[in-house]
Amino acid sequence: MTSPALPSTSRLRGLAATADTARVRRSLVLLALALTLMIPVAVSGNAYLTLLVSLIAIYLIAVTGLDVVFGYSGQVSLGHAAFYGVGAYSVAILSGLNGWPVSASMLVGCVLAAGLAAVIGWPSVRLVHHFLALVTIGLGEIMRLTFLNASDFTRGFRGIGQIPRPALPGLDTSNSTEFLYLIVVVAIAGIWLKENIGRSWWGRLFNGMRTNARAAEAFGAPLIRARTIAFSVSAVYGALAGGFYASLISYVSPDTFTFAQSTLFFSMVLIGGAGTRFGPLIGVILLTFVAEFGQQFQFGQGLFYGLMIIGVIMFLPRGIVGSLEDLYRDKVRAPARRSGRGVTIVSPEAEGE
Amino acid sequence: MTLEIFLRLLVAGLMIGSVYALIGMAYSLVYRGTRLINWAQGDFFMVGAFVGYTFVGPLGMPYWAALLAAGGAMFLFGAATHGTIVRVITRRGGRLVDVLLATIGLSIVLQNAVSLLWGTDVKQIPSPLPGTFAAGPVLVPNQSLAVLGVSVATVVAIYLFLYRTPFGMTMRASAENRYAASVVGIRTGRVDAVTWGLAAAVCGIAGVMLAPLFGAHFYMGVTVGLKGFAAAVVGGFGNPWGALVGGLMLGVLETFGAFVLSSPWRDAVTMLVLIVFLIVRPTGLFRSEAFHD
Amino acid sequence: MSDQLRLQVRGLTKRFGGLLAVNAVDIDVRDNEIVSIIGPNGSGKTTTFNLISGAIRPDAGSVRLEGEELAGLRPDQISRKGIARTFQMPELFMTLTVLDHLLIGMQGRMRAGLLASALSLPSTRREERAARAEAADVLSTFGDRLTADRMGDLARSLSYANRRRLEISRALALRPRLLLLDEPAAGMNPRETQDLMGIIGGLRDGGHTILLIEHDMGVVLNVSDRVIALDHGEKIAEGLPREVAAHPRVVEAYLGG
Repeated sequence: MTSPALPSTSRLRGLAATADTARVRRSLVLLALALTLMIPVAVSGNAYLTLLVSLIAIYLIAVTGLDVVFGYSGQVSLGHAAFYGVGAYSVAILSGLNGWPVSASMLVGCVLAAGLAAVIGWPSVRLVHHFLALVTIGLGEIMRLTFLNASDFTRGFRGIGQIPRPALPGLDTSNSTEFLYLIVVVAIAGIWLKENIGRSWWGRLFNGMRTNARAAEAFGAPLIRARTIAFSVSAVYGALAGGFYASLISYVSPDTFTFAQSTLFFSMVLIGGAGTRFGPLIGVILLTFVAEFGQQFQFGQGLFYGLMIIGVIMFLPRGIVGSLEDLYRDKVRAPARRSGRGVTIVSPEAEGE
Repeated sequence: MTLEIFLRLLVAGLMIGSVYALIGMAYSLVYRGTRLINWAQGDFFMVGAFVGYTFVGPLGMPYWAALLAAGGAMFLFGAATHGTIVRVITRRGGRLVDVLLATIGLSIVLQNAVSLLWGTDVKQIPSPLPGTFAAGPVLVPNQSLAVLGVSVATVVAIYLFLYRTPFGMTMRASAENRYAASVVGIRTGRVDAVTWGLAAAVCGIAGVMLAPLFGAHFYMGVTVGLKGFAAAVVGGFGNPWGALVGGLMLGVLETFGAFVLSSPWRDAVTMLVLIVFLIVRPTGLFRSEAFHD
Repeated sequence: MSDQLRLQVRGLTKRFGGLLAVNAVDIDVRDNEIVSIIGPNGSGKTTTFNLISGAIRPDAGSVRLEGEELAGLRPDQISRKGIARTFQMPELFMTLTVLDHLLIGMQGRMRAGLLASALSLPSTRREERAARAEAADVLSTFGDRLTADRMGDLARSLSYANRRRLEISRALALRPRLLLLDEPAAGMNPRETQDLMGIIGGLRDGGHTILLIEHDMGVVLNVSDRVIALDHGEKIAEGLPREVAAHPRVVEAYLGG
């Protein structure tokens, strides 16, 4: 049986050197991103800005997770608010009502969310491709209605207030700026983990499954298991974001965790650019600003938002960042012959370093 | 439960169920004909109500004329949606998921556009048949019966159109085998536009019918749309007649369920049915090909 | 060389509704040989491949890879046992690079868990680097037709012939115990076809075991060690290439229809 000669050690060392520089470069970019989020708040001390950036960081956590299930494994999840809500209500009920430490209740929330995703996801991902989308819509609605109606646990429409913040040694989380630092660090860590996954053979597995499930399966991709795992990972991110949200606002109520919220999360990934490095970030920032500064125009803002979604799907299927990447590839790299049949909605390229 | 209550619930359930049935039929017609999902069917229902309101109120048309005019207007709107948004997406290789997402965006656009154009207050349309009808011990609003009646008439009209007209046969052929249809010269693009238009018209008519009972409000399409979708899934997605049965069942189930449980759980019942069907019996009651590999 | 067959298929049967697509087919493949399955279109060749690779489940029969029963396993499980295949129409990952295809081929051998990958542990990174180095070696099979400097090219930018070569390279990256090639030369011109058949022969000489599907007998005449002929789902002849080519039932199947 043929066995190609083992790669020479000098070749491996050479590869290691380039890989290490690339890794350092990537880490620096993430560091810069963290600082960009933290410094303006630290400098200005403006309470409104602090709240806004905190929300951006929280959304970034949620949307990064959504990008794992959508941008990587190609499954549309329109019920992300369900996991966001599970995380938020776990913290609200366990810490707000029952005095648990916030980190413990966040952990519970993440575990519950992952479990929920596995239970719902497993039977759903075996069927035709778009199926999970529909199931997740139903799931989102069921969770919202549960939050609303299980008043014995969730206090129903009145919501739960006075939710504490996580206690961390050395950090005064009651100070909004310091709490922001914590959230940003967690968000950056979340992005780092996700990128590592994307670069690993798991990332290739997901990419392959998303691009051509049949071929991927013929080369070892356990479709059902991998899709369920991706879905569960997204749920954990969502629950984590929800937990921080509950602590940040110190109040939760069922009408936060609606289909509109799920749509918002999804639009952020879509418009920013699924499967890309900075797509989720761009999407979060863009839509948060549209929401904040469009407040005065109320329905005009909503109209613009809806038109953005339609427009992106029609003309920029890879989102803003994805389309820029494509432009770069077309203009800067040697133009290559294309087969010309057009792109489906998400086809991020893995990076071959 | 007395007979009176039972009958009252039954009629109410069938009435709202017939609306779900129409929306569900719209979903299934579009899916069977074009293999796509238009998430904004509920919002077409809502827009139809507002268009009907405009015809009846400011423009002073008689109700039944407004109903037909609104239906026609929504037909054009549905066809235009297909001709613009959907065509661009499918031309560039987009598939069901892409159109689903785009129509979610459309849903948002419609809700906001209606709020901008008509305001956020609830618009009233006077019923053409005010008063109630005594069916034994039960008093039923005439409009409820009208809703039921018009729904039945619409279903019959769809049936006749699909099975007794040449164009209907063209639509069925195209739905059956797109490639073969195009080979014999059927303009599938045009047929698709008509399919979308027809589905939109059905939703619009349902909207105008329901408006005298509950008023027209920009948010009215959201839950109705979701329940119509559930009706389609229950009946076997892509099977309009299944959606009919599914919608009636859901309406009755929901109405009786809300009586037995407390009202907030009413919506939860439908969602639970939806998700149970999706997971356990995705092919629906009547075994559709959809959602099955 | 062991007594055990590399691949032993017995009584393989598949029905599609009323149609008996594959009817009690037996196939033997010894170590280090090329067996070609030929037959006119519709004779059940690709269905046989799909049954062996797990894409569809057999109604009856057994498929043994070096003694190990595979019937009923999923495609990804079978690929991990060491069977790699190509498809009749290239099933590539259009938006992924050449390198990615090779790495995906090697995937089954990768060990890192999800958490280890997420944390980018040194062991994970080492595994990655070794894989990338190996990828270039796999690609060298095709010499200067599909060279290493094309590693970063997207699959959709490749010519048709290169796409087919990439399909085969991906399969080779798996380091398979058995290679299933489904009409590998389809759509290629005569020169490219001959070239490819030469490479396939070279793979056999290098130690691979190959089961090949082709509907044009002339293509495989020179490169096959043995040929099996199918018609309407049944095996109608088996033996040395020239024998099968001259077999009356085979001739009739191609001319009759």
